[in-house]
Amino acid sequence: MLFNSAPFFVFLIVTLTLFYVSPRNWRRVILLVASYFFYASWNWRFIPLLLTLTVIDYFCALWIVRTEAAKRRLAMIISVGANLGFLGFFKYYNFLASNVALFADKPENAFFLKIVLPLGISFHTFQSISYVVDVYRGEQEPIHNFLDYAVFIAFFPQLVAGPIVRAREFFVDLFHWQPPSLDDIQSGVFLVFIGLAKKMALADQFSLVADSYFNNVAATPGAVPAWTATIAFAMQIFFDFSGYTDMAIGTAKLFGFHFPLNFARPYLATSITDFWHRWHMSLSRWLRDYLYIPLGGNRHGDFNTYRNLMLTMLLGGLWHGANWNFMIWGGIHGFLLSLERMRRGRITQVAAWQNPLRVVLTFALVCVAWVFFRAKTLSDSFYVLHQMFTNFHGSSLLLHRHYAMIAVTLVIALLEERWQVIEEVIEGPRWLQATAFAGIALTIELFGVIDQTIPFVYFQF
Amino acid sequence: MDSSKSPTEYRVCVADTPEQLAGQVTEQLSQGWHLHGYPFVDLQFQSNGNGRQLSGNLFCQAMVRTPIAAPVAKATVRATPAVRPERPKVPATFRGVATFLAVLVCGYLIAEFLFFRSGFYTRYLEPESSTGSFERTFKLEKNRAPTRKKEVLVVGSSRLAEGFSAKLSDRYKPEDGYRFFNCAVPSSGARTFYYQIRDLDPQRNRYAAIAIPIDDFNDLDDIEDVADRVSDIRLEINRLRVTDIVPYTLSFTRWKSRREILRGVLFKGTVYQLDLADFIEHPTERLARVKMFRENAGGWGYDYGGIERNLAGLNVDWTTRHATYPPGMPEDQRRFLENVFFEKHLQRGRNRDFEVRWLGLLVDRYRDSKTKIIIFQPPRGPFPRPSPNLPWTAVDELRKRSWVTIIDSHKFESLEKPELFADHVHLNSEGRKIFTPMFVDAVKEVVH
Repeated sequence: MLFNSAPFFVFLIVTLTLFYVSPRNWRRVILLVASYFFYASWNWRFIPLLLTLTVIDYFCALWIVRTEAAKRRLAMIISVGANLGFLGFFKYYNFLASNVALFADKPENAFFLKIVLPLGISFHTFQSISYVVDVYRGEQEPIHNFLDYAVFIAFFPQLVAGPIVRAREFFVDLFHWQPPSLDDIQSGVFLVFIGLAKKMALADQFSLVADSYFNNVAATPGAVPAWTATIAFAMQIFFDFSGYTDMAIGTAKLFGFHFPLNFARPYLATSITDFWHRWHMSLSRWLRDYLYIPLGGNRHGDFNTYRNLMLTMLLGGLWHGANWNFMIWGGIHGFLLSLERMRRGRITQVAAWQNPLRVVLTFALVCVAWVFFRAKTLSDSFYVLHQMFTNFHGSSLLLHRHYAMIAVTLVIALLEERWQVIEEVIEGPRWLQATAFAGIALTIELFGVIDQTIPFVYFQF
Repeated sequence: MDSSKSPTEYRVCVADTPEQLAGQVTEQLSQGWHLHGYPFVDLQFQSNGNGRQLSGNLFCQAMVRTPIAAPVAKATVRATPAVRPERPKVPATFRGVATFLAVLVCGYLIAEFLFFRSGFYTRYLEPESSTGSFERTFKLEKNRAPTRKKEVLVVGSSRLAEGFSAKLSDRYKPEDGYRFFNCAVPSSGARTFYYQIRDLDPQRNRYAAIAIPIDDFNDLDDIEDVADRVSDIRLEINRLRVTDIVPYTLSFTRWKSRREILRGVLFKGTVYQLDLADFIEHPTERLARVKMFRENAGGWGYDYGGIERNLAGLNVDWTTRHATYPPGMPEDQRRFLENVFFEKHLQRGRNRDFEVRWLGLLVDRYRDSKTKIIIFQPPRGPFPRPSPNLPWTAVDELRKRSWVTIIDSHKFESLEKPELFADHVHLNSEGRKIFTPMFVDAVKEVVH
C-alpha cells in the first residue's frame, strides 16, 4: 500500500473516521490495528518479527528500571543486540557472505541465503534502540502499557521510512493527546498533497531520467549525460524522500501527532555540515546522539573527532544498504565533514555574495557522492565519475520540463528559506489556500507519473 | 519598545528611596529596557562651604538600556533558519474543517474548469494528435456558417477520411442543392460518433441527413475489443460532461480500463499529460503550428486528394488461404497482410453489441427529428474476408427503427478491388474519386 496509491487514501479515510468516531480509550487500539494492517498489506509474514522486537524492547526497558545497576547494562545490550541482530541478519548477511566467499575464493553467491528485507526494519529498529538507550540513560521513563509502546513502534505514517521519532516526542502527543487544531488539519492536508506532488510529479519524473541512465551507464557516454542524470537522481531522491516525509508528517498531524522536521531545503546548504543539518535530519540526529557522541564526539582532540565523524558517516552509509557503494558514499561525506571541521576557525567571515557559490559547490559535491548511492555497482560508479570529469561530450538527458521543475522548486525553496511562504499560505486566507491547493492538484494531474508504480526510494532501506 | 534600536540607548532612573527606585526600574524593565550595571544607593553629601557634610538624605540611582545588538556571527556555516513563531491554535470544529476542505475542492474545480473545461487548453493542442485532430475537425464543423442547402453530415473513421471527399461531392451535381461535410476522424468508432454528433447537433435539426458507417455489416470481431479501447478517451475527452462520467466509464468492459477511464474523465489533465509535455519541450513550434492549422486546416482537409499508391497485383485465394502480393512489397507488409487476411478470431458478437449500444443511442436521439439517419457499409477492403452468416447483426437491430435508412450492403462492393485501395482498409485517391459520387447518389436517393 504505497502512500501514492488509491488504496492508501481509502485506508487513511477509513482509519481517520474510525479514530474520531470511536471513544477515546479505543483510539490507541484503532491506531495499532490500522498500523499492523498497513504493515501486513506489504507482507504479513513480517508481522511476527515486528511483534517480537516490540516485545523484547518493551520488556528490556522495564527490566532496565526494575533491576539493580549491574544488570541494567545487560538488559540494554540484549535489546540493542536483538535489534541489531535482526537488522544485521536481514540486511547484511548476504553482503558479509559475498565478501567471505570472495576471500575464500568461492563464487560470490556460495553462501547466499534467499532473504527478503522486511519493510522499514532499518527505521523501526533505530527507533527501538533510541528508546531503550534513552531509558538506560535515564532520559526516558519506561512505558508500562504495552499497547502504547506497540503504537509508538508501529504507527503507520512513519513505520516504513521514518522520520525516526524519539520516544519522548511521540509519547508527549500520545499521553497528552489533544484533538488537532484547525491549523494542524490544514497543515496536515496540505502536507499530504505537497508530498504527493513531490513524489508523483517531481520525483517520478526525474526517476525516469535517472533510471534510464543508471540502468545502463555505458549506453550514454559523456560528461553532460552523466551530470544531468546525476542531477536527476539528486532531485529524485530529495523529492521522493521529502515527499514521503511530508505525507508522513501530514498524516500524523491529522491524527493529532507531531513529527519532527526531516528536511529543510538541503540543496540550499552552503557546506556539507550545513547539508547534514538539513538532510534526513531525524537520522542525522540519531547518528549524532547514539553513535557520534558515544564514540567520543569532538571531546578527545582533533584526530579522534575526525575518526568519529568518518566512523559515523561510514556506518550511516552502511545503514542505507549492504554494499560498498553506500560505504563509499558515507565515506565521502565523512571525509568532507572532517575537512570542513579542519578548516573551521580558519575562515572568519563569509561574504553574502559567496553564498550562492558555496551552495553550488556543495550541491556539486553532494551530487558526486550521489553517484555511489545510485549506481548499481562499484565499477558503474567509477565509470560515471570518469565520464563526469573527463569526457566532456554528450547532450543533456533533462528535458525542458525538468529544468522548469527545478527552476520553480528552487524559487519556492528560496522563498521558503527567507519568508517561510508555505506556512504563510497554509495559514493564509481562504482564497490563497484554494489557489495553492489548485496549483498542487493540477501539478499532480498534469505531471504525475500515473502509468507506472515507482516505489519510494527509501522503502528499500 | 523597539529592540532593534541602534546604537544602544541609556536612561538614568533617580529616586529618593530604594523602594521608589525599584518601582521605576521595574516599570522600565516591563517596557523592554534592560538593567545596566548595579543600582546605586548611598547617603547624599552636600557642601556647606567648609567641606563635605552629610545631609542625611539617600541617593538612589540606576541605569537602564535598550538591548545591545548581538555581534555579527563569524560562523562559517550558515545556520538553518529559525522556526517560525507558532500562531495561537484555533480549535478544529466540524464546520471549520468542512469549510476548509470545501474551499480546497472549489479551488481545484475552478482551476480545472478554467484550464480544461472552458476550452482554454484545447486551443493549444497539438493539431495532429488524436485529440487535436478530433477537436479541429469538430470545431471547423461546429463553427461553420449554415448553408442554404440540404446539409449532410458524414462521420466515420480513417476509412471515410480517406475514402470520401467533401470537395468532390460539392462539385458533383451541385444543382441538386446538397452540401456534404466530412467529419471523419481516424480511430473513431460508434462511441465517438455519438458524442461528436450530440455536440454538433444538440437541437437535432441541423442536418438533412447524417451518414454513419458500419465498417462491416457482418460485425466481424477482430483481435481488439472495440468497446474496451481506452485510447478512445483521447478523442472524446472534450465532449464528455459530468453526467457522462458513469455511463461512459461503464461502457468499457474491463475493470482496469474502467479505472483508467474514470481517472481520465474526472481528472482531464491526466489525458493531456503527453500533449503538455510536448508543448513544454517545443512551445514556439507548437504555437506556430496551432496558428498555421487554425488558418489553413479547413482548406487542407477540403482539398485533400487522397493516397496515390494502390495494391494492384494483390490476390487472395480464400479456399487455399494463399495470398499473392504486389511485386516489391516489403516482407513486413506482406506478413502484416497475411495476418489481416488469414488470422482467425473468435466471433463473440462484441462488435455487434458495441454498435447496437452506441448507434442505438445515437439514432434514438433522432426519433422525432426530420433528420434522416443513414447507415451504410463503405468499401471494406481489396479482399474482404468471407463472412459467416450471423443470425443477428447490429444492422438488423437498427433496421427496426423506421427513421433509419440502411443502404444496401452490396452498394459499394464493386469498389472492393486492389487497384482502388492504398492498403488493406483505405481507399486510395482513385477509389475516393469513384466512391464519393456513388455515395452522394445513394444519400440523395434517401433524402430526396
